[in-house]
Amino acid sequence: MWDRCPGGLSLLLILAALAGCAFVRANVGEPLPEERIRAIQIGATTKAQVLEALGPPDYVGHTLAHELFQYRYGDGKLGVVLTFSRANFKTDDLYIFFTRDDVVADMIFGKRTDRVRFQFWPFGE
Amino acid sequence: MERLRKIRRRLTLVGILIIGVQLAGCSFSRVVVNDPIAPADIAFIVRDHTTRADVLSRLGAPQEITATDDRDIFRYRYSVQKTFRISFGQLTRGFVPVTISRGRTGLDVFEVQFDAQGIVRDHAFKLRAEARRFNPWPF
Repeated sequence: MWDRCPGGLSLLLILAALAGCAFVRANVGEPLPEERIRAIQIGATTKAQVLEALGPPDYVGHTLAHELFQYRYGDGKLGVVLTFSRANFKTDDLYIFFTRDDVVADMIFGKRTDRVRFQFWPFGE
Repeated sequence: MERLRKIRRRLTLVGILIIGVQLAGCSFSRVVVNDPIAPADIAFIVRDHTTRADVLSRLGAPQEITATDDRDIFRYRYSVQKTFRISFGQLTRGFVPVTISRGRTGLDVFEVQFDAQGIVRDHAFKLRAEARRFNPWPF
């Protein structure tokens, strides 16, 4: 039976399957400017300088000893093939801690958006 | 020649399978937010010993930083939403225009608490993200 199956049929079936593909990308906020982040010096840069370099934060909070600014950028990628779809979303998070004198006391930067992939298979990992 | 025949047979089967699922009116979708953290990933944490720097170097930046009166808290979150939809309208060519669908979201949260010196005083893990299954039944 398979011998009689025209070679083009397989290709036709796969092409028909691919006709239902979509690739979508969505971003939340602006990418965090890494050059400006690297220029921030612990113990020297002031809150005013941070605000000038990065703009207002997405969130302002407090830890036990410091005031905290949080900046966030999100990147999402969605792949759809026929009836299967998968969306992956990750964030870059920047936390800047300030002393009572409004000087940067510490900084945490986590970059994950460079590892967001287009995938469509919804099963497994 | 035999190898080509096998490849052709497999491609045809895959094509038939994909089109069959589509014609059946089923769809599966999954939304994944952030990176998973497995229990093995946090095995290095020892209460009253591990530091904030250790946690950051192994797990990266948390998704949330908050504080209580005497603790700083880092929270790491990972979520998975699974949605399964069956369109009977597509299946019956519009004769039964009914669609059933259900989306279920599972969330993993790892929380670690530090004292004022940045030493881990407590941590907790809630693992729910992968426990959800595809299930179209909404009732």
